[in-house]
Amino acid sequence: MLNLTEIQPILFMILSAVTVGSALLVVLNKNPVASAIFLVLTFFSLAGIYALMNAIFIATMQVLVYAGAIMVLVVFVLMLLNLREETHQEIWSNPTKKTVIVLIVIAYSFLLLVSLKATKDSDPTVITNITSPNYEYKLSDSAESKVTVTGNTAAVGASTFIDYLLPFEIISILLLVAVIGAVIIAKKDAVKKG
Amino acid sequence: MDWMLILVWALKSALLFFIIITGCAYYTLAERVVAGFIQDRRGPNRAGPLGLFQPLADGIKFLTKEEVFPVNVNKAMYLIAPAISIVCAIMAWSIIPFGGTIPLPPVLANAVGFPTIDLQVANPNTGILFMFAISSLSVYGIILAGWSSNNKYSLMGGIRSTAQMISYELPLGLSVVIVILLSGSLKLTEINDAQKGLWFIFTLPGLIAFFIFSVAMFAETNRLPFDLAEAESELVVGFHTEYGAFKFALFFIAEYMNMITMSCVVSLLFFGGYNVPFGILEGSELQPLVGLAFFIGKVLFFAFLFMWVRWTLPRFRYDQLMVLGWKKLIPWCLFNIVLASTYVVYWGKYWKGIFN
Amino acid sequence: MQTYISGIPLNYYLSLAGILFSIGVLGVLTRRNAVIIFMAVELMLNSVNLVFIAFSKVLSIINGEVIVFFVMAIAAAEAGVGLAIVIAIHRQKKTSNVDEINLLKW
Repeated sequence: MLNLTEIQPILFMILSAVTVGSALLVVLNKNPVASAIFLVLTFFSLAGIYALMNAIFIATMQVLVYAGAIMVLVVFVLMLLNLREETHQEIWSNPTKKTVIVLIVIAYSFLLLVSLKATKDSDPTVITNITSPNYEYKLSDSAESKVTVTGNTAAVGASTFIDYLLPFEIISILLLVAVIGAVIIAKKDAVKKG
Repeated sequence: MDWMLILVWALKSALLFFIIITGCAYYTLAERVVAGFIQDRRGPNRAGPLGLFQPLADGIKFLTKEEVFPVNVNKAMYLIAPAISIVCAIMAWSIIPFGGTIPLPPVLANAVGFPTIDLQVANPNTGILFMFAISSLSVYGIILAGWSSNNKYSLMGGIRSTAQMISYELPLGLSVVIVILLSGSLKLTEINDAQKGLWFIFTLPGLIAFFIFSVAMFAETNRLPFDLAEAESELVVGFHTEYGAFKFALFFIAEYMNMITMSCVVSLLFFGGYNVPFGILEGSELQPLVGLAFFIGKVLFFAFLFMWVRWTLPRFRYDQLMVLGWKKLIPWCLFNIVLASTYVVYWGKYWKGIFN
Repeated sequence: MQTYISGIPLNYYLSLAGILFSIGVLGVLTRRNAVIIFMAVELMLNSVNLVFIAFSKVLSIINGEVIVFFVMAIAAAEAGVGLAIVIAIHRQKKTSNVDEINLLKW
């Protein structure tokens, strides 16, 4: 198989730069549809980071569910509501509030950068091997770990249907309730009063 | 780093890209010839022997036309929409397996360091889900094109087309669940290998799933009988009204490429992919190439089916289309999932035994 | 203990999640458009997903990824209902500015 250990840090840097950049553009952009498109880009690069960690089922689900369904719904709503661009925000036009926000951001980034090197060089190094494609997962519900599955998708599926079956069924009922609720809330009134 | 693997992968991608662009260009010519044949007239035959240079002439026309930007369009979105369409159309080709593994001659094998080449660019563990993720992303090209054109007919065409595509993603996905149940894996090569003895269309849940998948596949690619949003006499031309020259060429090529992709997917999922029928040539040297030839034959048949249906069936009205998708196909899909589960657990072995 | 997931230290993933979460909080606090506030909430949910998956890889268990699967399903349900509410309010008040939705009954 492909030996990727030299390219992984570079990939992570590129993907996280794209993620943070487009997340900032989501929040700071005046045009709502442009914000939505940048959020799609954020989700896509996050899916790349999940795939880098060998969580490929979740990466594919991220693109399918978040970027492919939820954001299509958001873009639809934006187009149907026909929103104008926002005028200049109150917060950004007030100099005190602007400096407070910028100072908080700088302090937080400093704390984060310090935490990147939070371990001492004398600590033992642990390299997890769950990121290899043929890792044998053991499911937590089996007492002597009798059930092992190979592969990430199989492990998520087995765990969902063995360990987490009740939450799975409840989620399906929740989605049904959400669909019915959304249809009722967004329906136009059939008969105009008066 | 395994530079040799990366080089082989890059060469495969480049070769595949070249082949599908050319194939797609000639598919547009084939569409016009088949349309002429069904309508009892000749197709284009002026641009070269038998009209074979017609795609080249079309390409030159698209490249040399003037690029017009309508007033008051959001330039970034206007330009990104055809790019998203074509990128998603091409990306879906990276996981389609065209055949098994070809053993390299020993001289080449020693040079590159590995003995076989897969006729596939990438084989992820979530193969068929990747295909759905890409087709979900191609919806963005349409909705952005419709919205950014600053034209109410484009907007209506774009919204209708998008609503149709996302409504029919459900029956599409649910009928692929049948295939996943029957084959037990998401990887496309394993779906293909599970059909060695019996193609999935010859099983009862597979047959129902194939019918649902065909209907949904016509709706996903915005082809007749489901092309209200972009038909010639409705809504001007739909979401790509304001696009001319090369941007329109990108939408055009993306639509035809989606059709061929769907043909490949349906022949992989239901018709046995690159398996040679009746198990002849098992284990021989020629098997990958014969399998490739059979696969291409199946894909060409479905491509012809797209064109045949276009000039045969009348168009659906939009509300009829939505009723068909939500109220008729999805209950059949759900019933079919229960049927396929009972097939896998109880009567699958007996059914397969009849045919082997 | 230095833990590496795919050759990258765990701290890097957690800092990325922290940055994304704070950008989401920034979006919720400073924007007035209801749909953009919703998008910032989705950003926060995604940062939490990243933390779940990172720790599920560190501890070599699969439960984190299953929880992420459920979080995605809930986010989808929330998207549907939230945007339906935004549409209903827009139909009545012709605005989606959260500053102007300040009466209990109109």
